[in-house]
Amino acid sequence: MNMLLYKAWIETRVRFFAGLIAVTIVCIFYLQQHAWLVKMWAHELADSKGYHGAWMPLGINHYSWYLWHYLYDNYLQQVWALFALLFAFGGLIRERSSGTVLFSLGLPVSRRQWLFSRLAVALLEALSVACFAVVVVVIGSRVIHQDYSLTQLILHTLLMVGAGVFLLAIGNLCYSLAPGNYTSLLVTLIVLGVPYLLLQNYMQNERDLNKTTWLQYLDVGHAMAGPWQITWTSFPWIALFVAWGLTGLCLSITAFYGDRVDY
Amino acid sequence: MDTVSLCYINSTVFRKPNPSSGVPIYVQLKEQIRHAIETGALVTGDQLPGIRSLAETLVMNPNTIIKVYRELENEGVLEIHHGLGVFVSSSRRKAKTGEIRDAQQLTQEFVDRLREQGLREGEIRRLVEAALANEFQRR
Amino acid sequence: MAHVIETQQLKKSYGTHEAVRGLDLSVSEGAVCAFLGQNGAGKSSTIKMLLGMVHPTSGKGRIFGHSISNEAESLIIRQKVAFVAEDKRLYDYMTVAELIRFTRAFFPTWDERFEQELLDRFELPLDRKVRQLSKGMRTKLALLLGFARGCKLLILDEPTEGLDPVAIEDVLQIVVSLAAQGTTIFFSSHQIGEVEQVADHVLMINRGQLVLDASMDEVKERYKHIQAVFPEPVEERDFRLPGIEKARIEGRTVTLVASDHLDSILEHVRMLKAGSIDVLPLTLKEVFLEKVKVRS
Repeated sequence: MNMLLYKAWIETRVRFFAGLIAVTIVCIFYLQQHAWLVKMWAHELADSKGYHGAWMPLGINHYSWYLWHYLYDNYLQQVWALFALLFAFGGLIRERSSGTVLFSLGLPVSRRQWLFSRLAVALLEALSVACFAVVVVVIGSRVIHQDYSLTQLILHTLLMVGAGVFLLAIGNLCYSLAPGNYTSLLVTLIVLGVPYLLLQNYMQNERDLNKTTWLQYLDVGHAMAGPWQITWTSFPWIALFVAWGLTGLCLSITAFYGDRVDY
Repeated sequence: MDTVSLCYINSTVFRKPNPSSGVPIYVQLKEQIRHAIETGALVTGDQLPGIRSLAETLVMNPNTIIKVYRELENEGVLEIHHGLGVFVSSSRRKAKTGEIRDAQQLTQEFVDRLREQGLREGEIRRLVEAALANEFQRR
Repeated sequence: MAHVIETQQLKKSYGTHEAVRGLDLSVSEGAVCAFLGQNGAGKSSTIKMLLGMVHPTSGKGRIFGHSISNEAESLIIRQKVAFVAEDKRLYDYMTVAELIRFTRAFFPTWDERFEQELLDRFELPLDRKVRQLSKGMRTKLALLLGFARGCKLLILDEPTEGLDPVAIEDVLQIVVSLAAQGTTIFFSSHQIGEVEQVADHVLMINRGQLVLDASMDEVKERYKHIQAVFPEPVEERDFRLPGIEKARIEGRTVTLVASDHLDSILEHVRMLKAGSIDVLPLTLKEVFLEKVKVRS
């Protein structure tokens, strides 16, 4: 079993390190932009003809809203989701085109063990990337002299990864069903990425206008972001359990399908 | 018998059977062992190589070697002492060394004569094989 | 003798294409059994079914008594069987040493001394990445990873494909050496010469069906080429006898391929007043070509 984890790790370690670099860049960029953005919003608000967003006072007065908005509700989340999908890419079906699948299947390892060991490594990598982002934010905030709540950061990280496992699971299912190595990667990124981004954006606008539609139930991005002031009591447990239920469903389908494939 | 002389027996007495001749490999090996005894290359009491080492040297199936040893044991040519090895039988009638040597001479002359008449190797081989096949089929 | 591999009416269809059509195989313990057939005859499909990589459409199979179509039992089978696939590509991001360490972890019976011996013999560079190995080297590594598992049954799909003659002889020598220690070997090959050299049993399949199941010696003893010349022209129907696989007639000359009942066939030919009768042995290659061509 250790060897299966080891194999999955060497196969994905380049992506993992790329993931670390990517989240570092995103975090540092928005930490560095903080002073300038706050100044700009204050300027806009002071100007009677300027743009007055309802959220602007929050952004100016609450550093933790700023962190949530730019990182957990938008860009860090998106980059993390992209890498979570990349970590989940691979597996027996993909080994077919590299010609190693019969060697793998000749080992005394069940197809489910192959599947779940890979996903376990992908999950650990995704979790590590998210935790690494916390470290970057902690250090970066000290540099720009800002106060923040560490508990909130950790709760947001947990929610993002907790609800985000759904992406790992559905991503892996897509890879299994789609043909071709790079086609399947591309198809999955488009099929999952485009609705996710569009919906996230659309629902953010709707919320600003205080409107709700049934589409909110499909808004994975919001489920991963949660409310900006997150505590154990305001933790969106229902969304989380729904995400886990769907994750279980995706994994069952993948495992069921995987057991029946002829190599 | 020590390993040095075993190797000696392996490499000089037995040749790799020719798998693509129509003759079964076990028949070829059997003939080789018989021939070695008849020419005196192996004498009473000599130990034959072990199954694994002979299989490795001749790169042939070990089960075939077992079959050959067993059949030769039944025919009284070899003796299998379990745990010790395979030996050339002592109860065997005296080797027909002389007769075989004469026959070799005779065969050589026969082949030389056919060659003088202009027959090529393949033609001679076919004639001999056909004659042998007819001879032994009729029985 | 106990049967290590057994199948009953094993079938596999891919859509409308029937790759394997009711195969009844059995391989005895301790045998070196060759599995012959043209490309696409169903060899690889059969082997993959034995190892749980392909699911049979119908029929049953057992290895060491474990059902091949049950996932849990298939796992036990793969613990006890060393398999080397036709495609000898391996994880190209690992080094030779890493891949050996990886594979070893799955087999408690792994033979480290044999591993070392094979490394020396095949001259494999431990610290080189698999991606940098030549095709021949990769094949040798794949074979090493199979041989050193210490399993009682080896299933090899075209083990010597792409190897030079020296390496082929090495591999065959290892095969007979393992066989001498009691390992059962089931292998497919297109190299009929090497099959004749090391196998003691032959299974031949054509279009998904078994066309020959016999010991190597039986094949050599039973299959004969008979050539007879008659005083008068003869007809094809004169040669419809049990045991005659094929009859070719050119005027007064008849060429027969006999698979059995040689004596009664010769008796029959003599009765037809043949002037000359020649009986010649048939090589395995000729038998193979006859078996495959007859039905093509």
